[in-house]
Amino acid sequence: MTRKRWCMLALGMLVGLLLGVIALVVFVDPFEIYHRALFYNPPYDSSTQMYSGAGVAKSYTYDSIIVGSSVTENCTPSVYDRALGGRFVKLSMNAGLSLDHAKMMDIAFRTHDVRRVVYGLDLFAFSQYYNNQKARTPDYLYDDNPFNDVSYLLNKNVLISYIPQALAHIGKPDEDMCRDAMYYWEPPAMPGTKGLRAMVDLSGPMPAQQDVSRGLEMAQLSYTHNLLPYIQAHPETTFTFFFPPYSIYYWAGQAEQGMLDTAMAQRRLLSGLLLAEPNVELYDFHAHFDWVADDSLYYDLIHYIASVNDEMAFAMAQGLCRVTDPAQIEENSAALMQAAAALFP
Amino acid sequence: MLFNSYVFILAFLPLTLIGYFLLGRLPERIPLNKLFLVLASFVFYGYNNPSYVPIIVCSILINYALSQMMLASEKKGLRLPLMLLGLFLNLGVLFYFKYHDFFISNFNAAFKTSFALHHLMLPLGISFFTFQQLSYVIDSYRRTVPRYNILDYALFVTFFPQLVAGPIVLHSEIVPQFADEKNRRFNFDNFAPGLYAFALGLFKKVIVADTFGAAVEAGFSSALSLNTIEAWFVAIGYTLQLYFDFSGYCDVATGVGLMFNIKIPLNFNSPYKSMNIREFWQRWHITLSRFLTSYIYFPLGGSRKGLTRTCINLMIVFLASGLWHGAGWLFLLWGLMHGAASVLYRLFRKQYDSLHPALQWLMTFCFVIVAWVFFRATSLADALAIVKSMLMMDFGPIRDSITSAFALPGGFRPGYNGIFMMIWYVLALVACLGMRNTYEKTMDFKPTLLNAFTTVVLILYVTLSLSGVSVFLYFNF
Repeated sequence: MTRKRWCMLALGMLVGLLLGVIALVVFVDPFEIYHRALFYNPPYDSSTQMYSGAGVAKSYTYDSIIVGSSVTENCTPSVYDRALGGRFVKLSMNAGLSLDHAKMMDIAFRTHDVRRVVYGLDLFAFSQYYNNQKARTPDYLYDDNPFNDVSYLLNKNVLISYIPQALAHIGKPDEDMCRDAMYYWEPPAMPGTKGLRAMVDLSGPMPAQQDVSRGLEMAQLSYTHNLLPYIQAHPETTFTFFFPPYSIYYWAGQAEQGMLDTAMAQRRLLSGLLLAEPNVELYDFHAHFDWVADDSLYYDLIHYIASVNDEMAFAMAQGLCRVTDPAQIEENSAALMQAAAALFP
Repeated sequence: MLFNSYVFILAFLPLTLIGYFLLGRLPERIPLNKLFLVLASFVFYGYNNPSYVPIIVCSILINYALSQMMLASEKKGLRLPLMLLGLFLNLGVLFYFKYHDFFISNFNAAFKTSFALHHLMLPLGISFFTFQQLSYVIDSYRRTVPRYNILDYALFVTFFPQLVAGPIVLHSEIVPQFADEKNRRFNFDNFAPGLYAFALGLFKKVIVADTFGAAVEAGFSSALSLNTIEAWFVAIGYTLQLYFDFSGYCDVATGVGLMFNIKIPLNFNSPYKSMNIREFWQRWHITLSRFLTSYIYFPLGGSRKGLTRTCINLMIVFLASGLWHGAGWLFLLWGLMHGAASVLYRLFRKQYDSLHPALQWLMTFCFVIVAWVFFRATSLADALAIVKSMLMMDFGPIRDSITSAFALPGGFRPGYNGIFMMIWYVLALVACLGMRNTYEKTMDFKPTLLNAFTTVVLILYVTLSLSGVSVFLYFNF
């Protein structure tokens, strides 16, 4: 073989194989970046939400989104459709910080007309520096630059792991089933009151609380950079924020770590800022004691059973726990602090 | 820009090759191909941080100006201050960027002062292009170099395959090749072995070195708690990582150079086959050894001024080598170790050479492995802990964080990671010790179907391995 022929052969094979891989990834598209799954039902896995979330935001048909951490993963979009109207998808990001959620909203607003955003407002997501993320995001899936998609199109893991996973779920795609089932989870056992108590050290008196200034600064920065721009840029969209109904033991845990005052100050700050915006609705389930004091509803300190996710939709539809006046937040905060303090000896 | 990046493999390299050879069709008096290659090299250099580009541009212009003035001057008395100025400027810039903080932090510690540290980002490849230009400045002082035009000189310094990680080429090796008329045209006879070397080098760097790198990282981060088996695997793993990483990078440089019809000098010649430390330095980072020998060892008198001076000169060269590799005491210690080993070899050469060859090889290889521990460790305590563990006979299982680096793609059969690890080590050692190196294979390249298939599979596998999917396993919140 001559060297010229060798070069032609090698380059021809190389270019052919590279194009073949690209075509395969575009066709199967395991993270649905370019199109909805054509011949399979994706096995959505919360461990790869940063990838699949970008695909769902780009490829699904919807006019409303659910944004938040793992406390929104068990929401059933079809239930939210019925309760609040519209067509929902979940853009949940477990352990997500405010920037993670902002990036999800960013794709949704760029690619869809979004009528409503239901946003699970976790205080921990607003307690870090505003440009922190839970992990390194595959930004090449989040932007409109086609060239950096090469990181997805020529990706060993996509080829070896995620295309085979997709092909293992061949079947007629059912978007409704997929959007309801995605990321659903439940633990093998419920902890009950005893288990919840064991998650918090309630052996001593409630310790002194830490200074709130850093927590407030983080919340203010996160709000300014990762929430306000979207609220103001989309006055036609209704932003429905809710404080999730954590177990009362969560608040005792915050007190035990000296962070209860900070949490309450952040509630006050964020509520005040949000209520000043005309296209915002705010619901405070933090202090909805029918749920938060019922230990049988909780997987752990913050995660509640799936039916609570759906009941929240109907509660919001009926205006239950809606806050329109910052004074209501103060009353609820006082009740929460009292209930948390009562758990200490 | 990194060789192991999508942008280099899929865009920069093909476009630069096409542009260079298309412009090479113009008459020789219109050297747009060289200008294009210099500009492309600046793009390569400044791709991730454009602020580096002015530094290298200024460095080229100043060194070129000084060299031209020296070459134009008959009087040695006039050339000497120019050469000293060149030395001062080059080493001054290198000191400012690379050694300032090291020097100041030690000064502060020693004299309880609080001079500010700069925390500067080291410009890419500054150690390489500084040494490369120093050689030209010194040779200009000696008037042993021809006068090049600015474009040829800039191309000699910036030619992107060797710009950021060597080899440290001499002007006499590069400029005449670019001047050769027949090298202006695309040549399949060079492109074929070039592509082959490129594939092997990328595979060594991206797949082999980075796999060992993950295990080494896990090992060194647990330096204080390794058992004997782990310590040996970690130390040998780093020995292999460093070789495959650096020599892989040089193989890519060789390959890309050949694609442009430029033969870049050999930098790694199977160094772990060495039978003694002198031979090791004739095989490891050959162009650095050549530079240090030509511009430090020989000017100091080399071996012509008696045994004592020879030993002192050797120590100076290896201390300079240690310092060149990095601004830190452990690099100096590593240089000291190699210097001491070279002196000992010099003193007891006759006795050493009479040992059985297998014993000679084993002693050399073990010394190199132990010395690399000091090169890699982040503190002396870590390095000593690993060396102590290697000797303690404290046998135990190898932790998962080390073996998991060798897991199969997709995480299949994780229970067998320990066996996969053994296979990796055996294959890597066989490649280092029993096979011909990439340079030999490239120079003796024969176009076969197997070669073509190997080249394609390696480049495809490397390209697909440049990106992965990060799995986030945190479940709460």
